[in-house]
Amino acid sequence: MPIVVNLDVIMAKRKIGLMELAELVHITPANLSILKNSKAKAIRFSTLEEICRTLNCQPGDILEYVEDNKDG
Amino acid sequence: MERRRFLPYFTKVLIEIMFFSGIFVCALVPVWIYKIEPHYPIFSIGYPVLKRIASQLMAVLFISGIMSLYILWNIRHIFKTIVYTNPFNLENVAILRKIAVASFVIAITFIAKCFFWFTFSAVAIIIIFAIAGLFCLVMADVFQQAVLYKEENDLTV
Repeated sequence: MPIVVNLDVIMAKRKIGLMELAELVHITPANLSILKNSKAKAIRFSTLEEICRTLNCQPGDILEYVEDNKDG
Repeated sequence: MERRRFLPYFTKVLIEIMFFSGIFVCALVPVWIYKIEPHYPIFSIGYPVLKRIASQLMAVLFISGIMSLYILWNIRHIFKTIVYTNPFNLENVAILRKIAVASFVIAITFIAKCFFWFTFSAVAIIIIFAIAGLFCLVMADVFQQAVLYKEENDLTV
């Protein structure tokens, strides 16, 4: 998928675990894990806002566009 | 039990009662035609005429009876998912398509019945089951779309 989620990088920098972040952001650990592993199909702005506020970062720090290289 | 769960649960129980009593009624068809009908006639055509078409009538009643039981069995399965789990899954989409096919089989069976014993009630049954079959096909498409929306919603964080 072209959108890569770098949440684990930011979580490591801020030294915060999955369960703790899930509680602060008010989503389930399962959903946060889906996001962290780039399995999510969509993210609500409200969730993105909570994550950025909690981790003190920008959306671009968490989300990155990487073009698919299909020509190998 | 919550009010919104009570109605599907009640309907599920009703369908189960219909299913098990339907098995009993299906098994009773030959007994009715050969043993009970001569003494307590319910069919308007009279027993001598009925005896001539007994095998065809039994075939119609058995086929439509078995298809009806098959429909009830599948509806029972759908209601189980409504009451206990999640109804928006691909299995229910396939089940709705099977119910549609069974409905069409019943309609075709009664079309065949009209060739040896025409009644207006048979025409009503043909129309009802043909429309029910079409409705189930449309519902299958609706459920399939709902499955896609649910999957997308489940993966929306």
